[in-house]
Amino acid sequence: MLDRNKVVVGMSGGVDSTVAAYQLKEMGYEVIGVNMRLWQDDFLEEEHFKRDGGCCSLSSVEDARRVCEQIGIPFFALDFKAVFKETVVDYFIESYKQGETPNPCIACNKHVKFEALLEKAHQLGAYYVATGHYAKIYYDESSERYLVDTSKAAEKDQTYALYNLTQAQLQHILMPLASFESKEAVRKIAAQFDVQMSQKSDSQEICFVPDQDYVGFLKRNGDFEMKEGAFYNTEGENLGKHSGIVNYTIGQRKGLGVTFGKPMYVIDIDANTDRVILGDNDEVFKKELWANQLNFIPFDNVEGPYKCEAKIRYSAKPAPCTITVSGDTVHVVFDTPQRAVTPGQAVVFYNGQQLIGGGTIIRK
Amino acid sequence: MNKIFLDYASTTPVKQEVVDVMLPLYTNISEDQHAIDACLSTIESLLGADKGTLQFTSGGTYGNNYLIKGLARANRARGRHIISTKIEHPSVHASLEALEKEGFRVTYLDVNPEGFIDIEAFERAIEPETILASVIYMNNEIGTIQPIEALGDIAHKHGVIFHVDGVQALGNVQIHLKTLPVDAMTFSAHKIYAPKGSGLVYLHDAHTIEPLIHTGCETQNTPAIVGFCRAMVLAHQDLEMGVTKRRKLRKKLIDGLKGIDASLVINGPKEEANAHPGIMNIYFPTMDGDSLVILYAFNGIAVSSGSACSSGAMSASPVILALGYNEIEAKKCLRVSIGEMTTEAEIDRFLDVTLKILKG
Repeated sequence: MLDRNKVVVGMSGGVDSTVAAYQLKEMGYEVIGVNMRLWQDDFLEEEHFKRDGGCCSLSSVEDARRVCEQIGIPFFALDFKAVFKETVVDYFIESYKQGETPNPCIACNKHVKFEALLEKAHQLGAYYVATGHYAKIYYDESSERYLVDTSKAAEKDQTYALYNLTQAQLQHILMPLASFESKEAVRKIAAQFDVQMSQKSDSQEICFVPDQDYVGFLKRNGDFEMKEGAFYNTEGENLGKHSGIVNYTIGQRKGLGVTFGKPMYVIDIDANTDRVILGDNDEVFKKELWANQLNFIPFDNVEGPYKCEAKIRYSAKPAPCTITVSGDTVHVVFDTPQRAVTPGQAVVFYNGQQLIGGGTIIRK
Repeated sequence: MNKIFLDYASTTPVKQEVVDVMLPLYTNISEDQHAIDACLSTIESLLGADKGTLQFTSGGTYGNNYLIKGLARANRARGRHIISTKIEHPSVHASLEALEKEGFRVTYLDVNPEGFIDIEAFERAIEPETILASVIYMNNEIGTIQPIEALGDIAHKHGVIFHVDGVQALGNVQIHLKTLPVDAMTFSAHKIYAPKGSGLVYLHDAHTIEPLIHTGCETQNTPAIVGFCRAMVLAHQDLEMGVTKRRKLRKKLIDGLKGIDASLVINGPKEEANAHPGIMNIYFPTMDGDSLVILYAFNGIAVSSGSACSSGAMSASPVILALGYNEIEAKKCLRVSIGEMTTEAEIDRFLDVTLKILKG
């Protein structure tokens, strides 16, 4: 029997999870703090452990342990290395092999935080798992579904990385930072605890590539050749050699290693031929995209063309669009063209404050 | 709620009789060397060791490092091959890995699903280059007792130095070093109700060894040595009776668990006589070991799920993996270890809590 008063909180030792745990304790929940130990690149492990930043560093265990003691809740460091490696790191590597730009945070939320950690919470008898995400989860009586709204702290909103959560997961998730209108308000509460206020890296970074050198990371861990290839323009003309497709991402202008007399941007990557397609600024903008691996939150699927807004990256502003689902694929047509539509990244749909769902952008 | 300690294989509380002989030595400093010599001679006779073959150390990890690295390095001119197993203590593995970086080759023998190495495979692994073999006597996670005498005879037949990690064996079997075909053996104090930071190594005087650290002149930890010696004497009084008692409690616990859930699997030797009298390892098909450790802790019971890394998080144990479990299954294992202070009532409480955890 799962105890609805019991909650496992994922603790990084940072401001957000600290306040999340504290709020739940204040609300009367029986709170258990857990620091998730995740897979690390052997090469970086030693270097990384010296750093304060990143939610996986060893110092984060001690930060989390200390904070839990101050809040007055039990604390445990638990091993999630294998599941993290399989569902996040391997996916990350595979995605680059396909010439895509992966979003490991979304994979981690889906498979690690709200699946493996949730399963652990259930083993411990807890009905809920909670995190310091900025998003609002609530139950809607009329539709009998769990819904998600963007955070009132708009600049911190993290719903982009949560579109993938199912009803079965959402009913067991608490995000107590929903009630905060700003990060400042969260910091104020955190100030009473011995938390590293500023040194934690933002979760938008890739936590297992703390030095940001993901090309170096892929070379060490990718088990694939960094094949040279060629730049092409949209007319199919060869524009010269490049150093391997993983070095490039859609929309990139700097660091191409070749000059063309006018600004050129990466507009597509073809993993099969190792071609990087370049174009001018206009060609970086696309009016439509396709995505699969869909998930919708207020309903199981979309009927007919559906007008909403969509974000094609974490930091983008939602842009008005019309979506049409056919089979396992969604076709998204924007009212105005969007810059750098990137396969592998998520397209996430909103209706005002409400998170509608999303999918993984694919090449058509 | 009275706390119940069922993690004696990790460490043990220091017995009051041991504390009693140690305390005066902290406030009165006198005749240290005399006290240490007296301890050596007492322990020599308890373990059937020749004079001059025992040295006090700072513990089991130091002892394993010292004997394995020291013997390998001192004999590297004869060859650079070492034989060990996949179920050694982390300090043995770490020592061997360090030697591999120095150019030694190590063969890590497989074990069968009960945790035994194959005697014939052991002999087959011996090469002309082999200088050293290191095997754990009683495994710290699954309790398997290796056939040390048979292995030692084979090693000696081929001129291979035989080291045994005897940390978990001390106090659980009568050890007679003069007659055992063993050249070097590691012991630790804190597994037998003596203080941490103290240990002992045996090294047959036929062997030269390279020192691990160069001390010049070292002041010994007399209180710990005297405490260790006292604990050793206590462990060898009624040793057989104590072992019989712990085996009985172990059986009660195992039978109780099987009664609660027939799907639980007891890892390690099937034959009770081949298992450490206090160590049990249990596979729970529906629960992770770390979840169980937490749930037992919430119920006032200390147990262990084996290998914990620097963060305190428990990962899949190499010993359990060596039994043939995959990574996910290996994390569903729990070690329960009983000691001299364990009572029938504690086993009953453990079983009650287990029933509550598994059946709600």
